[in-house]
Amino acid sequence: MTQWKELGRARDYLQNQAVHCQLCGKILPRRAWVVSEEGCELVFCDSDCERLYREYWLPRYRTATS
Amino acid sequence: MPADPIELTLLHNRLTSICRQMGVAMMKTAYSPVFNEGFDFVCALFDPHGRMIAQAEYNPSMLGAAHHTVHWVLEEVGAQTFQPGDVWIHNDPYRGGCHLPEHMLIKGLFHGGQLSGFAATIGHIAEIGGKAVGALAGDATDIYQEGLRLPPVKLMDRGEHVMDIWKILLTNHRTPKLTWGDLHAMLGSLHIAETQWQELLAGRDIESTLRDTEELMSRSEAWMRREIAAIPAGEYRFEDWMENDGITNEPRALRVAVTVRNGEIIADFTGTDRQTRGPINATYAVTAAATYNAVFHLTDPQIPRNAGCNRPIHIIAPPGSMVNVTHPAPEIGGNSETHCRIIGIVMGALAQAVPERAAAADGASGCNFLFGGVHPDTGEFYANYHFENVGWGAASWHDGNDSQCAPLAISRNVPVEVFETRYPLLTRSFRLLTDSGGAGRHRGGLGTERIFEVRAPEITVSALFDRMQIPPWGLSGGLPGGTTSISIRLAGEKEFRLFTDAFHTVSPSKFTNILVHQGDCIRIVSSGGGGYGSPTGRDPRQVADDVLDRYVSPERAREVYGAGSLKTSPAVPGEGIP
Amino acid sequence: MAGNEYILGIDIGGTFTDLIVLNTRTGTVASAKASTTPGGFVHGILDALRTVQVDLGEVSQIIHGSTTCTNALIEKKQAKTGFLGTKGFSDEFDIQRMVRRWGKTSWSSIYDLHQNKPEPFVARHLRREIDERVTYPGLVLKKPDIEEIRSKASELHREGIQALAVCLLWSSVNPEHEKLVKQTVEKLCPDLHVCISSEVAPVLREYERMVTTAVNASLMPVLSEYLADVEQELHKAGFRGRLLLMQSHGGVAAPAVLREKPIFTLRGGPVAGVVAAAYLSRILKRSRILSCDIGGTSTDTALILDHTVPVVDETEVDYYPVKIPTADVRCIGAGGGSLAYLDVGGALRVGPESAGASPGPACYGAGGTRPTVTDANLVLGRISTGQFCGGRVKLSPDAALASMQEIGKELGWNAEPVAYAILRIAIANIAESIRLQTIDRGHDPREFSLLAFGGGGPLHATLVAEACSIPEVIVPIEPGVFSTLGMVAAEHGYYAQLGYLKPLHEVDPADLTQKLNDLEAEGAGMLRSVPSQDHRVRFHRSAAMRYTLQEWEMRVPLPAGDLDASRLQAIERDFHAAHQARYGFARDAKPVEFVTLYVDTLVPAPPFQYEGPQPGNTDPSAALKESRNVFVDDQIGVTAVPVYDRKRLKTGNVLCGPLLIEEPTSTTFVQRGWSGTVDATGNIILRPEKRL
Repeated sequence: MTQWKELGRARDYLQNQAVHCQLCGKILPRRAWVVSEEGCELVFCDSDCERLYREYWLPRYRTATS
Repeated sequence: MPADPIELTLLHNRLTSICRQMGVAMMKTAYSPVFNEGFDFVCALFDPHGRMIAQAEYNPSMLGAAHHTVHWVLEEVGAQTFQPGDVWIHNDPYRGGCHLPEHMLIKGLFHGGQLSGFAATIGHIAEIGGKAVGALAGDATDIYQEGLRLPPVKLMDRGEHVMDIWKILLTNHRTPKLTWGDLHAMLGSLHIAETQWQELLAGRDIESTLRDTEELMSRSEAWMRREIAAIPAGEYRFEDWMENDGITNEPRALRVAVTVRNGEIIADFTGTDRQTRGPINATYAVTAAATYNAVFHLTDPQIPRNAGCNRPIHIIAPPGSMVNVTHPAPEIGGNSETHCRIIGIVMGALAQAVPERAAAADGASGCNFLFGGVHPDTGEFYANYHFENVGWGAASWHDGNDSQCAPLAISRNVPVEVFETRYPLLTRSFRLLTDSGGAGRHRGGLGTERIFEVRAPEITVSALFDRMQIPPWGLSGGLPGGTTSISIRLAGEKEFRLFTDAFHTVSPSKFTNILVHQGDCIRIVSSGGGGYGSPTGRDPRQVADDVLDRYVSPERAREVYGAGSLKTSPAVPGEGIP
Repeated sequence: MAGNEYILGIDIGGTFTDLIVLNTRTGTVASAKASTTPGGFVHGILDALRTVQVDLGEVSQIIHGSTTCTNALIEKKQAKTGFLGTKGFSDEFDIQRMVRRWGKTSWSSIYDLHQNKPEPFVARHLRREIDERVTYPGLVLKKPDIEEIRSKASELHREGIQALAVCLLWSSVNPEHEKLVKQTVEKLCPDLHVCISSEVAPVLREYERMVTTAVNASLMPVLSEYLADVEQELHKAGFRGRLLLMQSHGGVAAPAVLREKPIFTLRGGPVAGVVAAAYLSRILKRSRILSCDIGGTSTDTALILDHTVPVVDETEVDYYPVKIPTADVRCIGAGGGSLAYLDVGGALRVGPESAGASPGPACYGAGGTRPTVTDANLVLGRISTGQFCGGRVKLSPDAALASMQEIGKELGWNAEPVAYAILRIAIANIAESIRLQTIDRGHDPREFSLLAFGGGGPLHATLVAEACSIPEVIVPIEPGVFSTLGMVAAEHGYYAQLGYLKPLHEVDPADLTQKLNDLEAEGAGMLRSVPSQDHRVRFHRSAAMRYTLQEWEMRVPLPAGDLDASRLQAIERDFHAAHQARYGFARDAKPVEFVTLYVDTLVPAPPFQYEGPQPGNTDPSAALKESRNVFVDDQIGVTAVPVYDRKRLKTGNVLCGPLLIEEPTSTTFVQRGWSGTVDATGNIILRPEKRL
């Protein structure tokens, strides 16, 4: 399941931690493209980052991370 | 209905011309040399979604970063909050910015009461508070030491100055007059964008104009994809090092794997060293800008510039690494020094795919020299951010250019006669450094040597250099270019010494707030470019010409090019100081 | 014709010599054209003079727009030049101050790896340094040693240099060391041409000043030699009058002045058109004129406000910055020969590349196959095959049509829409350039008249005017040779300047007055011997000023006479107002400073007039030549339009577009919706029927 989700981080000036896109690493200002997969939530900038995550990142790094 | 190609060309030219006019006004009215002689700023127009629809030919690193900075501001504050006459200011590296000195001003462009786009400028404000006079603290260990940080806040509210923000800014910056003048120059350029935008839309319908800008972006994207498709598909790896982070004197690796496939490029920086304690970390926006910049240099330079050019270029930058710094690590050298190195490794990777199109490494250091104090003639506090141009790498088609701004910017040097009206530093010499160009079939460009003499009781100096220990690489058998250096000859002494020796700094290239005194001389050497192809392949006539003009010394010509005895001009006094 | 006295204006182009002759007794003017004889200056002149029945012996003055110096630089035939500079700084010739985006146009790509930095203007082995130093604000830190000057100059002399440029740091505020160098070297090497920067360009910024000095020095032997030849040839041919040359800022000067400052003859060609336009603007009482000279490769435009030739302080010559007063002429690569092509992204582009004179446009039939603006105009029926360049060039419509094919195939269009698109892009490029010149500087184009000349000006004038909302077009008589009028209309001008870096509040009004008086005396001295029927010398004072801490200056006029504190305040107010007008804001509370002082000394040219056409009624049909099928615009397409003969038009004739007017040196196209009349002196004045 995929959807746009508000993160609320940008307006929270009490926090210093940031949310990064799972693929490219960019900090997400306000909302994320969220993908639920096998009980995990993966956050991306947009669907293009999700596409590259599947086409490029997973085949390349899956063994390394699992 | 398909867009009329003629209308599109006219629209693109018109939009670009607005951005250029913004820039001309900014250059002519700003107070800091870094603006008006250095062109360290950008001017661009964005559609209501924050996508860049046009830009003028100013600082390319800020242009690349502006995509991300504008996107952040619109995401955080919301486009709908913009009112006519509002101007927002922003410089936060942890909110989509590049590095702290780079301030962005953004204004909504309204037409018939409706928000129809944005104009933004980014400019390098030379003094922003922080631990080092002139910013760019080479040994900062967190962002709070680097200067005043501004999240997106309103500088103008419906045409009125927000005095509270101005007061905070002018209190925290060491040279408030310059900040005031430069920000006003930026405001003036946004005003020009606004009036020109009205003119543009006067004879047009906003919906169809925005459809046309959409089409312009699609066309640039398609052109860029065709360019990339012409590069042989594959994965190309390259690595290079930052020689130290200013805190511990050891090299840090930057690594990239560039994948070219299906008309897109993925620059994957996984494997780069973790972020450092010292200030050589790049933000995501910096890494992205550097990557775009490298790719743009290797593709058709005539592609009309807008957000479409960037779409086929993807950047993967692991958070917490040197290419994607996380809070609260320092980042101020990430944009001047690490930026150059990122351009270099992406270009180095792609050089394996298209060696005939790429160039060897350029000098790739801003040689940032910061200084300030009280001027003995005026009693006023001054601060300055000084940088040097470098030799460029040779390529299959030519020798590298001498002393030219590194590819992250387009700045020109500040005239000595302008410099000396402002600062109590006397320039003793400013010359090309013989033999600093990397040898090769095509020779790398030469770096420069500049000697300053202190003409005030004391001046506080800081430095943020790199390429002092690891020289710029050559390509296809070319030799490396010369390294940078900064050294001091104390009044009454005979020899120049490194700051590690004279002042016991940890790093020879990155340090802050050293007090120097009347009569001390500081010598700054900028790096040369790498050579291309084996030196033995160089045309002997070119070697002879180089020796005649002493771009290459007769000794070096013998040693590297195997030249016999050649006519040369007299050596200049002081040449060859270590 | 005995007893008459004439003034000649001569423009020697690559192909044709244009000549204008003014009878100073009657004030009448005539022009003529002859083929240029390469190498023989007077042949073309004598040929042309014969057609207007004037004897060279009757000519009291010749004004000449020489391209000798410009061409020498383009062809790299300037003299071998050495350089003496302050110890430590001569490498600025290599280092330069280029923004990394140089190119023939000032806006080239910032992502181009192929850019080559311009060669240093003086090679490194021809440069020497002297151990001397002046600091800001003009204090001597180290005096030069005469022996060192001698030995360095001798070294360079032995290298075979013909000219020596000298530029020392801070000489714009303290020129003493440079003067010493000049004295010493001139005594040592009397055959050497020596130029010091404080004499040719006493301005701040050392690189720009040293390049200007070196460019000037390198041209000194070139212009001297040329002038000697020309003077000798003219003398042999019986000329006993005086020779004057056009200068870059629109004035004229005598050879004696220009031998020392040949750099002032650069751009002496295009500037004549601007001077002519300024002249005509006065006659026609138009205070805002945009002069638009469209030629084969380029379009030169200039803003003429209050009948004054616009002058800027810096220009660029073949990539090198040159700090001399120059007419502010904007040149873009859009002319009849500009090539059209589709770029890789599918966008249609026109220029700046040009087909040049050879092979020329496809329709010349001289080997060109790529489409140009002239081909587009021919396809659209706007120029006739037999009348181009006075019938000297026969055009081939088939070749023009064929040249459209490639682009047509790509876009799926026929030849006519392609031609029309090429024309639109060319017009838009010109309009864009005009926009940068007007709106960018706070001028409203709707207040201007477009004065169109050059071979292609009248052909595109109404279209350009429409594209940038200019509500009036003026087509002068003989638009193809209109520029030469500027030569006889040009004032004799000497432009003096002085570095004067000082905050306004620290200025002693008496000192400033003295400095300005000195500059006026210098100018008056230079022009003392100028023969003019009217010896009223005028002075224009101005200063480059800026806000303290600003880097870039703006020129502001200064009042005549003695200055006092209240007039200084008025100067400050003028500066704020000018800043407001130019950049949209002023900083009334901020300190202002002087950077450079200027005094222009001017002596007016003798009066003259053209003989106008016969008076007539509103009906132009007596001048009708034919009716021709012309593609007018994309709404009405091809339609029959009348073609008139300019020679036969009479004062008072009314002309309603669309129509064509032909004459030997040009064709005027009047767009649908435009109409106008022929005025008493023969100018065609056109206006749109509805408000733009």
